[in-house]
Amino acid sequence: MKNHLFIGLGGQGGKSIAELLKVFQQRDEDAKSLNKQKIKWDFLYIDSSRDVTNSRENWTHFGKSLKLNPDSFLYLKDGGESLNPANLALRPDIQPWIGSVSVLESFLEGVQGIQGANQRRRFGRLLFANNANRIRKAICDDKIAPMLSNGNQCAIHIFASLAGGTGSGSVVDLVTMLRTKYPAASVDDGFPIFLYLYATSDDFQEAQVGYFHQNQYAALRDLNALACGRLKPHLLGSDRGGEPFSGDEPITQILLSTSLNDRNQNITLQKQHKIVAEAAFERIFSYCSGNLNEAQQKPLTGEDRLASYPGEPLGNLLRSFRFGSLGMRRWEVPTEEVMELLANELYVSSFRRILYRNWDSKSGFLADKLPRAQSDSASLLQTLASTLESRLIQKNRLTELSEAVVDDFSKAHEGIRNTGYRDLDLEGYEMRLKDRYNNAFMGTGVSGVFESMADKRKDRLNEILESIKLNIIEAWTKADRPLGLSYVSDVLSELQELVRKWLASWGTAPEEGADQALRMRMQARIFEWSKLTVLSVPFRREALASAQRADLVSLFKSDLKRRAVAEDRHLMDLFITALGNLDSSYRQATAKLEEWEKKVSGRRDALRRDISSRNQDSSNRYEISNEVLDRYLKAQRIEEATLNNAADALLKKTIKRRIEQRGIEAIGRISSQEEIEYWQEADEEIYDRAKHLHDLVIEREAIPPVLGGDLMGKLRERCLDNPEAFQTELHEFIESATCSAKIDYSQLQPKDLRGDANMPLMPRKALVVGLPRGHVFSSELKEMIKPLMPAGDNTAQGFYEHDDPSQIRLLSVMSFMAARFTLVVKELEEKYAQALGANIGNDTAYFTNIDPTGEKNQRPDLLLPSPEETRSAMRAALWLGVRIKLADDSGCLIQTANDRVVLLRKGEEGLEPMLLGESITSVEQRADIRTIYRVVDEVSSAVALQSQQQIESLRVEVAEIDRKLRDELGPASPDYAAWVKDRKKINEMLNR
Amino acid sequence: MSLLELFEYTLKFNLAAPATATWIYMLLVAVFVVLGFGLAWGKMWNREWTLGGHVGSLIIVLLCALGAAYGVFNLQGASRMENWFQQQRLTLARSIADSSRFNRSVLLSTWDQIVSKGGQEGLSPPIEGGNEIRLGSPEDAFALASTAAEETRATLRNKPPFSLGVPISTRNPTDIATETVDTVRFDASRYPTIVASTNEWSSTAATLQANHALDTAYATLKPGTQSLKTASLILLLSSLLIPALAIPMSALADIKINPTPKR
Repeated sequence: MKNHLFIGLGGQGGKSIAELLKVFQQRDEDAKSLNKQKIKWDFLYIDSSRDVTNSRENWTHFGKSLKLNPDSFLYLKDGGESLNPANLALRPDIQPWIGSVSVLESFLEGVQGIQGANQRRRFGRLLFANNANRIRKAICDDKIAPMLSNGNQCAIHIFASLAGGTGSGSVVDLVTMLRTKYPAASVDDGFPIFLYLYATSDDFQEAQVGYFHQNQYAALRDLNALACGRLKPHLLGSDRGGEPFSGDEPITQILLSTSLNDRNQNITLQKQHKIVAEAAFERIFSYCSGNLNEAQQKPLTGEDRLASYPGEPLGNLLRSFRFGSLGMRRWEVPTEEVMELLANELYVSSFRRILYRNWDSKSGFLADKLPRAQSDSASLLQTLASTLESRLIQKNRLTELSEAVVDDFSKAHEGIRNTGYRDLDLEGYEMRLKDRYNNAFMGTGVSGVFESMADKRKDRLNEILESIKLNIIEAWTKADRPLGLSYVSDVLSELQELVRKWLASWGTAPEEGADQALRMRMQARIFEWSKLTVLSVPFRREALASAQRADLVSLFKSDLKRRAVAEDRHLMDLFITALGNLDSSYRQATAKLEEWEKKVSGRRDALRRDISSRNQDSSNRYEISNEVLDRYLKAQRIEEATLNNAADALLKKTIKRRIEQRGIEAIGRISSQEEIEYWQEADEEIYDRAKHLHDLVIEREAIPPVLGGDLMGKLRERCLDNPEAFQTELHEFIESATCSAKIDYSQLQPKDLRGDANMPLMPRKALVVGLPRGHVFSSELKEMIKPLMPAGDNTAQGFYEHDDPSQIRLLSVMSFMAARFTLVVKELEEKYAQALGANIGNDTAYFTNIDPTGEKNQRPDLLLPSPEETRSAMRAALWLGVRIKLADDSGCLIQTANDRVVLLRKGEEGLEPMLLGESITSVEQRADIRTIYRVVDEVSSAVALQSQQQIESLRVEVAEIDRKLRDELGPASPDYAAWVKDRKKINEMLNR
Repeated sequence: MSLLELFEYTLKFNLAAPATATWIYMLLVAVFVVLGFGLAWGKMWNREWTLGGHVGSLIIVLLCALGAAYGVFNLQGASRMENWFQQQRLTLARSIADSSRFNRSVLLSTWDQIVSKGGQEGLSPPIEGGNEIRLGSPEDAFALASTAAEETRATLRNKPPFSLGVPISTRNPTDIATETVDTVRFDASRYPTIVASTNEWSSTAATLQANHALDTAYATLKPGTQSLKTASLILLLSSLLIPALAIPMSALADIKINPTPKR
C-alpha cells in the first residue's frame, strides 16, 4: 500500500477527511516517517453541499488551516442547483435505473435550491451520475494518476455516511467506477477499496429530513449485494455507455461505525469521525511500520480470512463477510487538549476584555458589565453627540446660508436702490427679493439648495455613520481604557434617545410665532409705504425698504432654519433608522462575540472537565496533574498586561480590520466562510500567544509545564511506585479496546450454516498497540502488555512503534464479518420494513433505492431469513430442483425414488446423490438449516446455468400451476396464500 | 407800557371797539392753520394723514391756529389804533364839552368858587337849578376855564382809551386855564358877563385838556404799538411755522418704519 487516496463522500465523509487531516497534522512525525518510506497520500472530498467545507472547526487545527486545496473538493452542483430528470433519463447510463421520472420531478419541484441530496439516495445517485465524468477525472486523473509513479497501486479509502443522500446514493457507483478503472483489488499491490461508513439506528429528529434510517439499510443491502456479486449496477459516465458493472471483488472491506460501540458506550458522531480517522491512519501506519509481520498485517484488512470465506451461505453468496469495524484509544499526556484549553482560556480573557473590560485582580477579566459610570460610555456618547451635531445643517451650514441671504439681498437691494425703486412699491420690492430667494439664491433658489442637500442626504448620513463608526472603533480599540463592545449598543440607544429629544425640541421651536409677527409687521409696513408722498419719499422710502428687507431676511433666515430643521429632521429620521440598524449591528456583533465567548468558555470548561475526568467512558486516557493545571490556569488568568496585549492583538488583527473594511456587520452577520477565516486568523494569533504565555507563566510562577511531557517517564515512575496498581491500570486500558460497532454475538455462526468445522469463528479481532519509539520503558511496557492482550485463533495482536513520546495507541480492528453481526443492521432492517409498509405512494422505496430492483426488494437480505421464510425458500428450491434438468441427462437436480429424496451434486468422480429425506413433503417440513442452505445453494447454482428458454419454460409452468391452484383452492384460501409465498421465492430464484 | 400791558390794552381795545373784519380775519387765519397745515400740509407728507389719530399734532395745530388768530387780532388792533386816536381827537373833546353833566359840574364848581365874590345876583345857583353864571372879571373866566380843565381830567378817566388802562397824562388846569383865556380872547370890557353852563371857556379848556391827554396817550402807545405789531407778527408767523414743521414731522413719524401690526 504505497499510495493512499482518502475520499470523503457527502457531509460526514467530508468531516472524516477533515479529521483525517488533523490526524496527519497531529501525527506529524509519523507522517514524516511514512514519507520516508515513500508512502504517498492525497485527499478528495465530494459533496452536493458546501456546509462542511464552510465550517471552520472542520478545517483548522490549533490555529493552523487545514483547508483542502480547491482541487480536493468536488462540488456536485457546480453546474447549478437544478437538474432536469427528464433530460437525464435519456442518458444510457441513467435510463436503466432512474425509474419513475415523475416521482423525482415532483420531489425536485419542491427542493430546488436546497443543499445536498436531501436524504434521497436516488437523487444523490442522479447528482453523482450527472457529475460522473468530473468525478472520474478528479479521482483517477487528478489524484491517483500522479501517485502511480510511486508504484502502480493505490489503496482507496472512502468515507461516507449511509443516512444521507449523497454519500449513501453514490458510494456504490463510486466503487464500481473505481473498480472498473482499477480492476486489481489486491491489498498489497492493487487498488483495494476500503469503505468507512457511518450508520446508526438512533432517532435523530433534527437529522430526519428524508429517509434517514431507510437509506442506511438500503445502502448496506446494496453494498452487500455488490460485494456478493449480486448487484451489477450500470456504470455511470459517458465512457461506459451504461453497461453493467462486471468487476470482481469491488470492495475490500466495509468498516462500519455506529453510535454504540462494542462496549455498549454511546459515541457521538463527532467522536466517531475522530475514531475512524485516527484508526484509518493508524491502520495504515501500523501496516506500513515494518513492525508487524504478515500474519499481523492481514487481520487488519481481513485478507487472511476473506480469500477462503468471502460470504454466506455457500457458493451463491447472499451475505458478504467483508464487513468490519475499527476502534482506537490512546493513553497520553493530553498535550493537544491542554494546548486547546490554554488557548481557550486566553480566548475567554480576550473576548471578555473586548466585550466588558471588567478586570478583577483575583479572577482576571469578568464576563459582566461594569456600572455605566465606570465604563467610559458617557465619554463616547458625548463624542458621538458632538460628531452628530456638527453634521447638522443647523450647525454647519445655516450660518453660511444666512450670511449668503444677507449678502445676496444687500446686493439686490443696492441694485433696486440705484434704480430709484423704479415702478416698485414695497410689495413689489418684497416680491422681487422673494423671487430672488426662491429662484436665484445661491444659483438655484432656496428649494434647489435644499433639494441638493436632500439629494446628498444619504451621503451625509453615510458620512455621519462612518464618523460614528470610527468614533466607536477608536473608543473600542484605543490602548488606554478602551470601551467594551457590550456598552456600545447602550451608548447608541442613548444617542437615539438624545436624537429623539432633539427632534422633539425642534418641533416645538417658537420661531413660527415670531415669523407670524414679522409677516404682520411687513404687511403693515406695506401700508406704511402707501402713505409715502413726494415729500416724504426721501425721508422714509429707504428706511422702509431696508426694514422690509431686514424683516424678510429674518423671515428667510427662519425659513432657512425651518428648512434646515426639516432637512435635519429627515436626516435624523434616517439616522434613527440607521442608528437602529447600527445598534442592531452592534448588538449582533456583541451577541456574536458573546456567543464566541460562551463558545470558547464552554469549550474551555468542557476540556477542563474532560481532562479532569479523563473521560474514561469512550475517550482516551489522560496523564496530567489537575493541581498543576489549575495553578497554571489561575496564574494565566491574572496576567493582565499579557492578556491585554492578547486582546489588543485579537481585536486589531482579526476584528478591527474586518470592521474597517465592511463595518460592524462583518462581525454580527459574519458568514460561515468568513467565520472560518476569522477563527483561522484568531487561532494563529491566540495559539501562538498561549504558547508564549505558557512559557512566561511557568517561568515566573515556577509551575511545572502543562504543555508536553514524557508519558513513558511518568508511567515508568508509576510502575516503579506501585507495580500492581499500574498493572491493573494497564489491564483496564487494554480491556477498553473496542470497535465502533455493537456486535451481536448471538448470531448463528457461518461455520454452523456451512457445516464446516474448520471454518473460523466470526468476527475476526485484531489488536495492535503503538508504543513510542526509542524509549527505555517501551520494551518493558511491551512485555507487560503482551500477556494482558486477548489471545486465541480468532484474535490477532501486534506492536508497532511511533514517534510521539506522549502517547500509547491502541488500535482494534474487527474484520471478517457478515453485516448481520452488527446490531445496527437488524434495527435498520426493522425500520426499513416498517417504513415501506407504512408508505402508500412507494416514494420511500423509490428514493431509498438506487434502482428499480432495489425498490422491488430484489436484493439479498442482510439478515438470516426467518424460519418460515427459510422453509418457503426450501419449498421453492425443491419445486425447482425436481424440474431442473442436469446437463448430462442425469435427470433432475432433485430426484425421488423408493422413499428417498436425493440432491444430485457433482463430485470429483461424478454425480454424488445427497440424501435429503424420505419424501419431498418430509424434506420440506423437517430439513435442518444446513440441508436447506445446501439445497437452496445447489438449486440456485443450477438455475444460473439454465438457458433463457428453460427459465422461461419454468416461469410458464409456475404461471400454469398458479392458475390451477387458484382455481382449485380459491384466491382467499390459506393454502393458496402459502403457495403465493413459495411462488415469490421461485420467481426470485429464477430472476437472479 | 410794557408789551404785556400793551397786549392787554389791545385786547381790551379790540373788545371795547370791536371790528367785524378782525373777527373774520381771525377766523380765516385759524381755519387756514387747521385745514391748511393740520390736514393739507400733513397729507402732502403722508397720504393717510389725519389729525384724528394724532392728539399732539391736533393740539399743536389748534394752539397754532389760536396763536395765529391772536396775532391777527393784535395786528388788527394795532392797525386800527392810530385811526381811532385821530377820530378820538375829533370826538372826545367835543363829547366832553357837550356833556351836560360836565358843563353843570364845571358850572357848579365855578359857582362855588366865585359866588363868594358876589355879583351873581339875579342868577339862580346852579344847585337850585340855575344854569348861568356871571363872570365878573377875567379872573372869573380863568377860574371857569381852570375848573373845566380839572373836570375834563376827571371825565377823561372814564373815557377810552384811558378807561382801557392807558395812563392818563393831563396838563395843569392853571396852564390850561391860561391857554384857554388866551384862546378865547374875551374883551375885558365885556365883564361881567353872564354865561351859560355851555360856554366857550369850558369847551376850550375841555378840548385842550382832552387833546393833550389823547396826544400824550397816543404818544405813549405808539412805540409799544410797533412792538405789538412785531410781536403779533412773530406770533402769527410762529403759529404758521410751527405746524408747517411739526405736521410734516408728525406725518413722517406716522409713516412707521417698524409699524405695530393691528391685531
